[in-house]
Amino acid sequence: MLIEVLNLVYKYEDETVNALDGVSFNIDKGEWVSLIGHNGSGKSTLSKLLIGILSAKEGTIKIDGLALNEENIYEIRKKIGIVYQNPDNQFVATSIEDDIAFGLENLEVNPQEMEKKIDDALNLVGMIEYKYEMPSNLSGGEKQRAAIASILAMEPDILILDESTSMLDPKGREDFINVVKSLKEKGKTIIMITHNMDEALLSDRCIVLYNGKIIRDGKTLDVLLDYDCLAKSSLEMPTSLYLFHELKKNNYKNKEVLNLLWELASKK
Amino acid sequence: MNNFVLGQYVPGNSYLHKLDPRAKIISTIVLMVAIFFFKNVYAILVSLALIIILLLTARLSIIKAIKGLKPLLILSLFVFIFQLLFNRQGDIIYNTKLYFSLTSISAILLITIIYFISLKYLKLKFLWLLVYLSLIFISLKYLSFVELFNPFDLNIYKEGLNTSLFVFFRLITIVFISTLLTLTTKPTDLTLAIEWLFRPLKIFKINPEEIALIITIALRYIPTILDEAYKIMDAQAARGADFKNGSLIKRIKQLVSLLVPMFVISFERSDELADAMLSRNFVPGKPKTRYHILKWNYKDTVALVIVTLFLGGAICLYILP
Repeated sequence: MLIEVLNLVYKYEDETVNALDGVSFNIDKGEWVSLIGHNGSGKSTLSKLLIGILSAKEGTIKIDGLALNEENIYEIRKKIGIVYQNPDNQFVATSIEDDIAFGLENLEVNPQEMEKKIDDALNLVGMIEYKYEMPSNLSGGEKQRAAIASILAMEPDILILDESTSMLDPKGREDFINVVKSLKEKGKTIIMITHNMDEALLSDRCIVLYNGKIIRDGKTLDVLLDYDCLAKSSLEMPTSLYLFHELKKNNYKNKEVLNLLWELASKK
Repeated sequence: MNNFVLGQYVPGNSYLHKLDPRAKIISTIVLMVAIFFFKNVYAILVSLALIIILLLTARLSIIKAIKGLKPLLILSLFVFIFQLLFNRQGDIIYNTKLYFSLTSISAILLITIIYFISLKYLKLKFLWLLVYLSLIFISLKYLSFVELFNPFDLNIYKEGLNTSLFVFFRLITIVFISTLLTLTTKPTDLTLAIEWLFRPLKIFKINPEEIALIITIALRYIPTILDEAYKIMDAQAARGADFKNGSLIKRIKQLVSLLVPMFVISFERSDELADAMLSRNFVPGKPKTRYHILKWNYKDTVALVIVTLFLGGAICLYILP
Protein backbone atom coordinates (compact mmCIF):
# COMPACT_ATOMS: atom_id res chain seq x y z
CA MET A 1 0.00 0.00 0.00
CA LEU A 2 1.39 3.38 -0.98
CA ILE A 3 -1.12 5.45 0.97
CA GLU A 4 -2.78 4.23 4.13
CA VAL A 5 -5.27 6.54 5.79
CA LEU A 6 -6.95 5.44 9.00
CA ASN A 7 -9.80 7.13 10.80
CA LEU A 8 -8.84 10.69 9.89
CA VAL A 9 -10.62 13.52 11.75
CA TYR A 10 -10.13 17.21 11.12
CA LYS A 11 -12.01 20.29 12.28
CA TYR A 12 -11.42 23.89 11.21
CA GLU A 13 -11.08 26.20 14.20
CA ASP A 14 -14.03 28.44 13.49
CA GLU A 15 -16.45 25.65 12.64
CA THR A 16 -18.58 23.34 14.74
CA VAL A 17 -18.76 20.28 12.47
CA ASN A 18 -15.80 18.15 11.55
CA ALA A 19 -14.57 18.85 8.03
CA LEU A 20 -13.36 15.27 7.90
CA ASP A 21 -14.99 12.71 10.13
CA GLY A 22 -13.37 9.30 10.37
CA VAL A 23 -12.03 8.86 6.86
CA SER A 24 -10.17 5.62 6.08
CA PHE A 25 -8.90 4.29 2.76
CA ASN A 26 -5.86 2.71 1.13
CA ILE A 27 -4.42 3.49 -2.27
CA ASP A 28 -2.12 1.14 -4.19
CA LYS A 29 0.88 2.16 -6.20
CA GLY A 30 -0.06 3.07 -9.77
CA GLU A 31 -3.75 3.57 -9.05
CA TRP A 32 -5.70 6.49 -10.48
CA VAL A 33 -8.27 7.50 -7.89
CA SER A 34 -10.95 10.15 -8.22
CA LEU A 35 -12.05 11.98 -5.11
CA ILE A 36 -15.51 13.37 -5.74
CA GLY A 37 -18.10 15.12 -3.65
CA HIS A 38 -20.04 18.34 -3.28
CA ASN A 39 -18.42 21.67 -2.36
CA GLY A 40 -17.30 21.59 1.25
CA SER A 41 -17.36 17.80 1.46
CA GLY A 42 -13.75 17.79 2.64
CA LYS A 43 -11.90 16.87 -0.57
CA SER A 44 -9.39 19.69 -0.48
CA THR A 45 -8.98 19.37 3.27
CA LEU A 46 -8.00 15.78 2.68
CA SER A 47 -5.33 16.77 0.17
CA LYS A 48 -3.91 19.33 2.59
CA LEU A 49 -3.77 16.71 5.33
CA LEU A 50 -2.00 14.21 3.08
CA ILE A 51 0.84 16.66 2.47
CA GLY A 52 0.96 17.92 6.03
CA ILE A 53 -0.11 21.52 5.44
CA LEU A 54 -2.88 20.86 7.95
CA SER A 55 -2.44 18.38 10.77
CA ALA A 56 -5.20 15.96 11.71
CA LYS A 57 -6.93 15.89 15.07
CA GLU A 58 -7.14 12.13 15.09
CA GLY A 59 -6.12 9.30 12.84
CA THR A 60 -2.98 8.32 11.00
CA ILE A 61 -1.62 8.80 7.52
CA LYS A 62 1.08 6.50 6.20
CA ILE A 63 2.78 7.27 2.92
CA ASP A 64 5.00 4.51 1.54
CA GLY A 65 5.26 3.01 5.02
CA LEU A 66 6.20 6.32 6.68
CA ALA A 67 3.75 7.65 9.25
CA LEU A 68 3.17 11.37 8.75
CA ASN A 69 4.49 13.37 11.69
CA GLU A 70 6.54 16.49 12.44
CA GLU A 71 9.88 14.80 11.81
CA ASN A 72 9.37 13.20 8.43
CA ILE A 73 6.98 15.74 6.98
CA TYR A 74 9.65 16.89 4.50
CA GLU A 75 10.41 13.29 3.50
CA ILE A 76 6.73 12.82 2.76
CA ARG A 77 6.38 16.06 0.82
CA LYS A 78 9.12 14.77 -1.47
CA LYS A 79 6.84 11.87 -2.36
CA ILE A 80 3.73 13.91 -3.09
CA GLY A 81 3.19 16.73 -5.56
CA ILE A 82 0.03 18.85 -5.78
CA VAL A 83 -1.30 20.82 -8.72
CA TYR A 84 -3.82 23.33 -7.44
CA GLN A 85 -6.94 24.82 -8.95
CA ASN A 86 -5.87 28.34 -9.85
CA PRO A 87 -3.12 28.30 -12.47
CA ASP A 88 -2.03 31.80 -11.47
CA ASN A 89 -1.34 31.09 -7.83
CA GLN A 90 1.32 28.39 -8.04
CA PHE A 91 4.20 30.08 -9.79
CA VAL A 92 6.98 31.53 -7.74
CA ALA A 93 9.45 32.68 -10.37
CA THR A 94 9.40 34.96 -13.39
CA SER A 95 10.12 32.21 -15.92
CA ILE A 96 8.97 28.61 -16.29
CA GLU A 97 12.58 27.44 -16.12
CA ASP A 98 13.20 29.26 -12.83
CA ASP A 99 9.91 28.07 -11.41
CA ILE A 100 10.82 24.43 -11.96
CA ALA A 101 14.24 25.19 -10.49
CA PHE A 102 12.55 26.52 -7.34
CA GLY A 103 11.41 23.02 -6.33
CA LEU A 104 14.76 21.50 -7.26
CA GLU A 105 16.61 24.12 -5.21
CA ASN A 106 14.44 23.26 -2.23
CA LEU A 107 15.37 19.59 -2.65
CA GLU A 108 19.05 20.61 -2.78
CA VAL A 109 19.55 19.03 -6.18
CA ASN A 110 23.05 19.46 -7.58
CA PRO A 111 23.02 22.56 -9.87
CA GLN A 112 24.70 20.64 -12.69
CA GLU A 113 21.82 18.17 -12.85
CA MET A 114 19.09 20.80 -12.73
CA GLU A 115 19.08 21.78 -16.39
CA LYS A 116 18.55 18.19 -17.50
CA LYS A 117 15.77 17.61 -14.97
CA ILE A 118 14.04 20.81 -16.06
CA ASP A 119 14.23 19.83 -19.74
CA ASP A 120 13.02 16.29 -19.02
CA ALA A 121 10.02 17.52 -17.05
CA LEU A 122 9.11 20.05 -19.75
CA ASN A 123 9.40 17.38 -22.43
CA LEU A 124 7.08 15.10 -20.46
CA VAL A 125 4.31 17.70 -20.58
CA GLY A 126 5.19 18.95 -24.08
CA MET A 127 6.13 22.44 -22.95
CA ILE A 128 9.83 22.60 -23.79
CA GLU A 129 9.40 25.58 -26.11
CA TYR A 130 8.02 27.62 -23.22
CA LYS A 131 11.11 27.16 -21.07
CA TYR A 132 12.06 30.84 -20.92
CA GLU A 133 8.52 32.21 -21.05
CA MET A 134 6.95 34.27 -18.28
CA PRO A 135 4.10 32.41 -16.54
CA SER A 136 1.74 35.34 -17.11
CA ASN A 137 2.18 35.03 -20.88
CA LEU A 138 0.81 31.44 -20.98
CA SER A 139 -2.79 30.31 -21.37
CA GLY A 140 -4.54 28.56 -18.49
CA GLY A 141 -3.95 25.07 -19.89
CA GLU A 142 -0.29 25.81 -20.55
CA LYS A 143 0.12 27.16 -17.03
CA GLN A 144 -1.34 23.99 -15.53
CA ARG A 145 0.90 21.78 -17.65
CA ALA A 146 3.87 23.90 -16.59
CA ALA A 147 2.71 23.48 -12.99
CA ILE A 148 2.74 19.69 -13.50
CA ALA A 149 6.25 19.97 -14.94
CA SER A 150 7.36 21.89 -11.85
CA ILE A 151 6.12 19.01 -9.74
CA LEU A 152 7.30 16.18 -12.00
CA ALA A 153 10.84 17.54 -11.90
CA MET A 154 10.83 16.77 -8.19
CA GLU A 155 9.98 13.15 -9.05
CA PRO A 156 7.15 12.44 -6.62
CA ASP A 157 5.46 9.02 -6.55
CA ILE A 158 2.05 10.52 -5.94
CA LEU A 159 0.41 13.31 -7.88
CA ILE A 160 -2.60 15.08 -6.38
CA LEU A 161 -4.66 17.14 -8.81
CA ASP A 162 -6.81 19.46 -6.71
CA GLU A 163 -9.52 20.56 -9.17
CA SER A 164 -6.67 21.37 -11.54
CA THR A 165 -8.86 21.50 -14.63
CA SER A 166 -11.77 23.49 -13.28
CA MET A 167 -10.51 26.82 -14.59
CA LEU A 168 -9.43 25.58 -18.01
CA ASP A 169 -11.13 25.78 -21.39
CA PRO A 170 -11.99 22.49 -23.20
CA LYS A 171 -8.76 22.46 -25.20
CA GLY A 172 -6.61 23.18 -22.16
CA ARG A 173 -8.50 20.49 -20.24
CA GLU A 174 -7.94 17.92 -22.97
CA ASP A 175 -4.20 18.63 -23.17
CA PHE A 176 -3.96 18.49 -19.41
CA ILE A 177 -5.83 15.17 -19.19
CA ASN A 178 -3.62 13.69 -21.91
CA VAL A 179 -0.58 14.52 -19.82
CA VAL A 180 -2.19 12.88 -16.79
CA LYS A 181 -2.96 9.76 -18.83
CA SER A 182 0.67 9.50 -19.95
CA LEU A 183 1.81 9.84 -16.34
CA LYS A 184 -0.52 7.06 -15.26
CA GLU A 185 1.11 4.85 -17.90
CA LYS A 186 4.50 5.70 -16.42
CA GLY A 187 3.30 4.24 -13.13
CA LYS A 188 2.57 7.39 -11.11
CA THR A 189 -0.15 7.19 -8.52
CA ILE A 190 -2.77 9.83 -9.22
CA ILE A 191 -5.36 11.27 -6.88
CA MET A 192 -7.72 13.50 -8.78
CA ILE A 193 -10.09 15.79 -6.92
CA THR A 194 -12.75 16.81 -9.39
CA HIS A 195 -16.27 17.98 -10.08
CA ASN A 196 -16.13 16.89 -13.67
CA MET A 197 -17.69 13.44 -13.95
CA ASP A 198 -16.31 12.81 -17.43
CA GLU A 199 -12.84 13.17 -15.91
CA ALA A 200 -13.73 10.94 -12.99
CA LEU A 201 -14.77 8.33 -15.54
CA LEU A 202 -11.14 8.06 -16.65
CA SER A 203 -9.91 6.87 -13.27
CA ASP A 204 -9.73 3.33 -11.92
CA ARG A 205 -11.53 4.01 -8.70
CA CYS A 206 -13.82 6.59 -7.17
CA ILE A 207 -14.14 7.72 -3.58
CA VAL A 208 -17.25 9.76 -2.78
CA LEU A 209 -17.03 12.13 0.15
CA TYR A 210 -20.17 13.49 1.76
CA ASN A 211 -19.99 15.90 4.69
CA GLY A 212 -16.56 14.66 5.67
CA LYS A 213 -17.38 10.97 5.42
CA ILE A 214 -16.68 8.43 2.72
CA ILE A 215 -20.07 7.21 1.53
CA ARG A 216 -18.87 5.16 -1.41
CA ASP A 217 -15.52 3.70 -2.44
CA GLY A 218 -15.27 1.36 -5.38
CA LYS A 219 -14.57 0.74 -9.04
CA THR A 220 -15.30 3.87 -11.08
CA LEU A 221 -18.11 2.36 -13.16
CA ASP A 222 -19.84 0.88 -10.12
CA VAL A 223 -19.73 4.14 -8.24
CA LEU A 224 -20.71 6.34 -11.15
CA LEU A 225 -23.68 4.09 -11.95
CA ASP A 226 -24.95 4.46 -8.37
CA TYR A 227 -27.55 7.08 -9.12
CA ASP A 228 -28.72 7.58 -5.51
CA CYS A 229 -25.24 8.05 -4.15
CA LEU A 230 -24.40 10.64 -6.79
CA ALA A 231 -27.68 12.47 -6.33
CA LYS A 232 -27.08 12.65 -2.59
CA SER A 233 -23.74 14.36 -3.23
CA SER A 234 -25.28 16.73 -5.79
CA LEU A 235 -23.16 15.16 -8.50
CA GLU A 236 -24.22 14.34 -12.03
CA MET A 237 -23.80 11.03 -13.74
CA PRO A 238 -21.61 11.23 -16.87
CA THR A 239 -23.86 11.60 -19.91
CA SER A 240 -23.09 8.21 -21.45
CA LEU A 241 -23.64 6.39 -18.17
CA TYR A 242 -26.83 8.32 -17.53
CA LEU A 243 -28.22 7.19 -20.88
CA PHE A 244 -27.26 3.60 -20.12
CA HIS A 245 -28.83 3.84 -16.68
CA GLU A 246 -32.12 5.30 -17.96
CA LEU A 247 -32.47 2.89 -20.84
CA LYS A 248 -31.87 -0.07 -18.58
CA LYS A 249 -34.30 1.21 -16.00
CA ASN A 250 -36.99 1.43 -18.70
CA ASN A 251 -36.32 -2.15 -19.80
CA TYR A 252 -34.82 -1.22 -23.10
CA LYS A 253 -34.10 -4.50 -24.82
CA ASN A 254 -31.72 -3.72 -27.67
CA LYS A 255 -28.52 -5.37 -26.38
CA GLU A 256 -26.47 -3.86 -29.17
CA VAL A 257 -27.19 -0.25 -28.18
CA LEU A 258 -26.63 -1.02 -24.52
CA ASN A 259 -23.29 -2.67 -25.25
CA LEU A 260 -22.27 0.27 -27.38
CA LEU A 261 -23.06 2.70 -24.58
CA TRP A 262 -21.25 0.53 -22.06
CA GLU A 263 -18.18 0.43 -24.25
CA LEU A 264 -18.34 4.18 -24.70
CA ALA A 265 -18.47 4.69 -20.97
CA SER A 266 -15.67 2.25 -20.15
CA LYS A 267 -13.34 3.54 -22.84
CA LYS A 268 -10.47 5.52 -21.45
CA MET B 1 -2.12 42.45 -21.05
CA ASN B 2 -0.48 39.68 -23.00
CA ASN B 3 3.25 39.76 -23.61
CA PHE B 4 3.85 42.10 -20.77
CA VAL B 5 7.57 42.82 -20.50
CA LEU B 6 9.06 43.31 -17.09
CA GLY B 7 11.26 46.32 -16.61
CA GLN B 8 13.22 47.81 -19.45
CA TYR B 9 15.52 44.89 -20.13
CA VAL B 10 16.49 44.54 -23.78
CA PRO B 11 17.93 41.12 -24.62
CA GLY B 12 21.34 41.35 -26.18
CA ASN B 13 24.85 40.07 -26.29
CA SER B 14 26.98 43.14 -25.69
CA TYR B 15 29.86 43.45 -23.24
CA LEU B 16 27.52 45.32 -20.91
CA HIS B 17 25.04 42.44 -21.01
CA LYS B 18 27.80 39.99 -20.23
CA LEU B 19 29.11 41.78 -17.17
CA ASP B 20 28.28 40.25 -13.83
CA PRO B 21 25.16 41.95 -12.40
CA ARG B 22 27.00 42.51 -9.12
CA ALA B 23 29.74 44.42 -10.95
CA LYS B 24 27.07 46.41 -12.75
CA ILE B 25 25.17 47.38 -9.62
CA ILE B 26 28.33 48.40 -7.77
CA SER B 27 29.59 50.34 -10.82
CA THR B 28 26.26 52.14 -11.09
CA ILE B 29 26.45 53.25 -7.48
CA VAL B 30 30.11 54.30 -7.80
CA LEU B 31 29.40 56.30 -10.96
CA MET B 32 26.44 58.06 -9.36
CA VAL B 33 28.57 59.04 -6.37
CA ALA B 34 31.26 60.30 -8.75
CA ILE B 35 28.73 62.47 -10.58
CA PHE B 36 27.84 64.15 -7.29
CA PHE B 37 31.47 65.17 -6.77
CA PHE B 38 31.54 67.22 -9.98
CA LYS B 39 31.21 70.93 -9.48
CA ASN B 40 30.93 72.26 -13.00
CA VAL B 41 28.74 71.58 -15.94
CA TYR B 42 31.58 70.61 -18.32
CA ALA B 43 32.61 67.62 -16.23
CA ILE B 44 28.98 66.50 -16.20
CA LEU B 45 28.69 66.93 -19.96
CA VAL B 46 31.87 64.91 -20.50
CA SER B 47 30.51 62.09 -18.34
CA LEU B 48 27.16 62.23 -20.10
CA ALA B 49 29.01 61.90 -23.40
CA LEU B 50 30.96 58.92 -22.01
CA ILE B 51 27.73 57.26 -20.89
CA ILE B 52 26.22 57.78 -24.33
CA ILE B 53 29.32 56.28 -25.93
CA LEU B 54 28.87 53.26 -23.62
CA LEU B 55 25.23 53.03 -24.71
CA LEU B 56 26.12 53.17 -28.38
CA THR B 57 29.01 50.73 -28.23
CA ALA B 58 26.73 48.27 -26.45
CA ARG B 59 24.35 48.66 -29.41
CA LEU B 60 21.56 49.95 -27.23
CA SER B 61 19.05 52.30 -28.72
CA ILE B 62 19.31 55.83 -27.46
CA ILE B 63 15.57 56.24 -27.86
CA LYS B 64 15.00 53.51 -25.25
CA ALA B 65 17.31 55.33 -22.87
CA ILE B 66 15.54 58.63 -23.45
CA LYS B 67 12.24 56.90 -22.79
CA GLY B 68 13.68 55.93 -19.43
CA LEU B 69 13.99 59.65 -18.70
CA LYS B 70 10.28 60.19 -19.18
CA PRO B 71 9.12 60.14 -15.57
CA LEU B 72 11.83 62.66 -14.65
CA LEU B 73 11.56 65.02 -17.63
CA ILE B 74 8.88 67.26 -16.15
CA LEU B 75 10.65 67.35 -12.80
CA SER B 76 13.98 68.30 -14.38
CA LEU B 77 12.28 70.96 -16.50
CA PHE B 78 10.80 72.57 -13.40
CA VAL B 79 14.11 72.42 -11.56
CA PHE B 80 15.68 74.07 -14.60
CA ILE B 81 13.15 76.93 -14.83
CA PHE B 82 13.18 77.47 -11.08
CA GLN B 83 16.96 77.82 -10.93
CA LEU B 84 16.93 80.05 -13.98
CA LEU B 85 14.41 82.49 -12.50
CA PHE B 86 15.42 82.65 -8.87
CA ASN B 87 19.19 82.26 -8.74
CA ARG B 88 20.53 85.83 -8.69
CA GLN B 89 24.28 85.56 -8.62
CA GLY B 90 26.86 86.83 -11.11
CA ASP B 91 26.31 89.24 -13.98
CA ILE B 92 23.05 89.76 -15.77
CA ILE B 93 23.34 88.11 -19.15
CA TYR B 94 19.83 88.55 -20.42
CA ASN B 95 17.21 91.12 -19.64
CA THR B 96 13.73 91.62 -20.95
CA LYS B 97 10.44 93.12 -19.93
CA LEU B 98 7.36 90.92 -19.64
CA TYR B 99 4.01 92.62 -20.11
CA PHE B 100 0.87 91.48 -18.34
CA SER B 101 -1.54 93.08 -20.75
CA LEU B 102 -5.06 92.30 -21.86
CA THR B 103 -3.74 90.95 -25.15
CA SER B 104 -0.99 88.79 -23.66
CA ILE B 105 -3.25 87.31 -20.98
CA SER B 106 -5.98 86.48 -23.46
CA ALA B 107 -3.36 84.99 -25.77
CA ILE B 108 -2.11 82.82 -22.91
CA LEU B 109 -5.64 81.69 -22.14
CA LEU B 110 -6.17 80.76 -25.76
CA ILE B 111 -2.87 78.88 -25.96
CA THR B 112 -3.67 77.03 -22.73
CA ILE B 113 -7.06 75.91 -24.02
CA ILE B 114 -5.54 74.76 -27.31
CA TYR B 115 -2.75 73.02 -25.42
CA PHE B 116 -5.04 70.98 -23.21
CA ILE B 117 -7.38 70.06 -26.04
CA SER B 118 -4.56 69.00 -28.34
CA LEU B 119 -2.77 67.11 -25.57
CA LYS B 120 -5.16 64.19 -25.95
CA TYR B 121 -4.25 63.64 -29.59
CA LEU B 122 -0.50 64.12 -29.47
CA LYS B 123 2.29 61.68 -28.83
CA LEU B 124 5.35 63.82 -28.06
CA LYS B 125 3.80 65.45 -25.03
CA PHE B 126 7.03 66.74 -23.62
CA LEU B 127 8.03 68.58 -26.80
CA TRP B 128 4.56 70.01 -26.92
CA LEU B 129 4.96 71.24 -23.34
CA LEU B 130 8.18 73.03 -24.37
CA VAL B 131 6.40 74.66 -27.31
CA TYR B 132 3.58 75.68 -24.97
CA LEU B 133 5.95 77.26 -22.46
CA SER B 134 7.86 79.18 -25.15
CA LEU B 135 4.59 80.44 -26.68
CA ILE B 136 3.62 81.81 -23.27
CA PHE B 137 7.00 83.48 -23.01
CA ILE B 138 6.68 85.04 -26.48
CA SER B 139 3.22 86.41 -25.80
CA LEU B 140 4.34 87.88 -22.48
CA LYS B 141 7.27 89.52 -24.16
CA TYR B 142 5.73 91.01 -27.29
CA LEU B 143 2.02 91.54 -26.64
CA SER B 144 2.02 94.79 -24.67
CA PHE B 145 -1.25 96.33 -25.86
CA VAL B 146 -3.61 97.49 -23.03
CA GLU B 147 -1.36 96.94 -20.03
CA LEU B 148 -3.08 95.84 -16.83
CA PHE B 149 -0.09 95.66 -14.48
CA ASN B 150 3.37 97.10 -14.39
CA PRO B 151 5.76 95.25 -16.66
CA PHE B 152 7.91 92.64 -14.94
CA ASP B 153 11.66 92.83 -15.31
CA LEU B 154 13.02 89.40 -16.16
CA ASN B 155 16.73 89.10 -15.46
CA ILE B 156 18.72 86.00 -16.10
CA TYR B 157 22.00 85.85 -14.24
CA LYS B 158 25.13 84.03 -15.27
CA GLU B 159 25.22 81.81 -12.20
CA GLY B 160 21.53 81.11 -12.57
CA LEU B 161 22.03 79.78 -16.07
CA ASN B 162 25.10 77.80 -15.02
CA THR B 163 23.44 76.19 -12.03
CA SER B 164 20.25 75.37 -13.87
CA LEU B 165 22.16 73.69 -16.70
CA PHE B 166 24.32 71.91 -14.14
CA VAL B 167 21.40 70.58 -12.12
CA PHE B 168 19.52 69.61 -15.26
CA PHE B 169 22.37 67.66 -16.80
CA ARG B 170 23.34 66.06 -13.52
CA LEU B 171 19.83 64.66 -13.14
CA ILE B 172 19.82 63.39 -16.71
CA THR B 173 23.25 61.80 -16.38
CA ILE B 174 22.25 59.97 -13.23
CA VAL B 175 19.09 58.63 -14.83
CA PHE B 176 21.11 57.55 -17.88
CA ILE B 177 23.52 55.62 -15.67
CA SER B 178 20.72 53.71 -14.01
CA THR B 179 19.07 53.10 -17.37
CA LEU B 180 22.31 51.55 -18.55
CA LEU B 181 21.93 49.03 -15.73
CA THR B 182 18.27 48.23 -16.26
CA LEU B 183 18.52 48.01 -20.04
CA THR B 184 21.28 45.41 -19.93
CA THR B 185 20.39 43.31 -16.87
CA LYS B 186 17.61 40.76 -16.54
CA PRO B 187 15.36 41.29 -13.49
CA THR B 188 16.28 37.78 -12.30
CA ASP B 189 19.99 38.61 -12.48
CA LEU B 190 19.38 41.84 -10.62
CA THR B 191 17.63 39.86 -7.90
CA LEU B 192 20.52 37.42 -7.64
CA ALA B 193 22.98 40.30 -7.40
CA ILE B 194 20.91 42.04 -4.74
CA GLU B 195 20.81 38.82 -2.79
CA TRP B 196 24.62 38.60 -2.95
CA LEU B 197 25.10 42.25 -2.05
CA PHE B 198 22.78 41.92 0.94
CA ARG B 199 24.76 39.06 2.41
CA PRO B 200 26.40 41.23 5.08
CA LEU B 201 22.89 41.82 6.46
CA LYS B 202 23.01 38.29 7.86
CA ILE B 203 24.67 39.85 10.91
CA PHE B 204 21.36 41.57 11.62
CA LYS B 205 19.48 38.27 11.17
CA ILE B 206 18.08 39.39 7.84
CA ASN B 207 18.10 36.56 5.37
CA PRO B 208 19.13 37.83 1.91
CA GLU B 209 17.59 34.74 0.28
CA GLU B 210 14.22 35.73 1.65
CA ILE B 211 14.62 39.27 0.35
CA ALA B 212 15.48 37.87 -3.08
CA LEU B 213 12.45 35.57 -2.95
CA ILE B 214 10.19 38.48 -2.03
CA ILE B 215 11.52 40.51 -4.97
CA THR B 216 11.10 37.54 -7.34
CA ILE B 217 7.52 36.91 -6.25
CA ALA B 218 6.70 40.61 -6.52
CA LEU B 219 8.14 40.71 -10.05
CA ARG B 220 6.26 37.55 -11.01
CA TYR B 221 2.91 38.86 -9.77
CA ILE B 222 3.07 42.39 -11.20
CA PRO B 223 1.54 41.38 -14.56
CA THR B 224 -0.99 39.03 -12.92
CA ILE B 225 -2.17 41.67 -10.48
CA LEU B 226 -2.27 44.36 -13.18
CA ASP B 227 -4.42 42.04 -15.23
CA GLU B 228 -6.70 41.57 -12.25
CA ALA B 229 -6.92 45.32 -11.67
CA TYR B 230 -8.14 45.81 -15.23
CA LYS B 231 -10.72 43.07 -14.80
CA ILE B 232 -12.03 44.58 -11.58
CA MET B 233 -12.09 48.06 -13.12
CA ASP B 234 -14.16 46.69 -15.98
CA ALA B 235 -16.46 44.92 -13.55
CA GLN B 236 -16.92 48.07 -11.46
CA ALA B 237 -17.39 50.17 -14.58
CA ALA B 238 -20.19 47.79 -15.57
CA ARG B 239 -21.76 48.62 -12.20
CA GLY B 240 -21.50 52.33 -12.87
CA ALA B 241 -18.12 53.27 -11.43
CA ASP B 242 -16.21 55.92 -13.34
CA PHE B 243 -12.45 55.91 -12.87
CA LYS B 244 -11.60 58.46 -15.54
CA ASN B 245 -13.85 61.48 -15.01
CA GLY B 246 -15.01 63.53 -12.07
CA SER B 247 -13.23 65.51 -9.39
CA LEU B 248 -10.14 64.18 -7.66
CA ILE B 249 -12.03 63.29 -4.48
CA LYS B 250 -14.67 61.46 -6.50
CA ARG B 251 -12.03 59.49 -8.34
CA ILE B 252 -10.24 58.60 -5.10
CA LYS B 253 -13.55 57.32 -3.76
CA GLN B 254 -13.98 55.22 -6.89
CA LEU B 255 -10.50 53.84 -6.33
CA VAL B 256 -11.68 52.29 -3.06
CA SER B 257 -13.98 50.05 -5.06
CA LEU B 258 -10.88 48.83 -6.88
CA LEU B 259 -8.53 48.55 -3.92
CA VAL B 260 -10.76 46.59 -1.55
CA PRO B 261 -11.32 43.63 -3.91
CA MET B 262 -7.66 43.81 -4.95
CA PHE B 263 -6.56 43.40 -1.34
CA VAL B 264 -8.98 40.57 -0.63
CA ILE B 265 -7.93 38.69 -3.76
CA SER B 266 -4.25 39.26 -3.05
CA PHE B 267 -4.58 37.77 0.41
CA GLU B 268 -6.35 34.71 -0.99
CA ARG B 269 -3.67 34.46 -3.63
CA SER B 270 -0.88 34.59 -1.10
CA ASP B 271 -2.55 31.86 0.94
CA GLU B 272 -2.73 29.57 -2.07
CA LEU B 273 0.79 30.43 -3.15
CA ALA B 274 2.06 29.64 0.34
CA ASP B 275 0.39 26.21 0.15
CA ALA B 276 1.89 25.62 -3.29
CA MET B 277 5.35 26.59 -2.04
CA LEU B 278 5.08 24.39 1.04
CA SER B 279 3.99 21.42 -1.03
CA ARG B 280 7.08 21.96 -3.17
CA ASN B 281 9.24 21.46 -0.11
CA PHE B 282 9.97 25.09 0.60
CA VAL B 283 11.25 25.58 4.12
CA PRO B 284 12.12 29.16 5.09
CA GLY B 285 15.75 29.54 6.05
CA LYS B 286 16.73 26.03 5.00
CA PRO B 287 19.86 25.79 2.85
CA LYS B 288 19.16 25.45 -0.88
CA THR B 289 21.22 24.82 -3.94
CA ARG B 290 21.13 27.44 -6.67
CA TYR B 291 20.20 26.98 -10.32
CA HIS B 292 21.66 30.28 -11.47
CA ILE B 293 25.18 30.85 -10.27
CA LEU B 294 26.81 34.23 -10.82
CA LYS B 295 30.30 34.03 -12.28
CA TRP B 296 32.78 36.79 -11.59
CA ASN B 297 35.06 37.35 -14.58
CA TYR B 298 38.28 39.32 -14.98
CA LYS B 299 36.24 41.75 -17.10
CA ASP B 300 34.12 42.56 -14.06
CA THR B 301 37.23 43.42 -12.09
CA VAL B 302 38.41 45.62 -14.98
CA ALA B 303 35.04 47.41 -15.06
CA LEU B 304 35.17 47.99 -11.31
CA VAL B 305 38.75 49.32 -11.53
CA ILE B 306 37.75 51.74 -14.31
CA VAL B 307 34.75 53.16 -12.44
CA THR B 308 36.80 53.42 -9.24
CA LEU B 309 39.46 55.38 -11.12
CA PHE B 310 36.68 57.59 -12.47
CA LEU B 311 35.45 58.19 -8.92
CA GLY B 312 39.04 58.91 -7.84
CA GLY B 313 39.34 61.48 -10.63
CA ALA B 314 36.07 63.08 -9.58
CA ILE B 315 37.25 63.35 -5.97
CA CYS B 316 40.57 64.86 -7.12
CA LEU B 317 38.70 67.48 -9.15
CA TYR B 318 36.56 68.20 -6.11
CA ILE B 319 39.50 68.70 -3.74
CA LEU B 320 41.72 70.64 -6.15
CA PRO B 321 40.76 74.27 -6.52
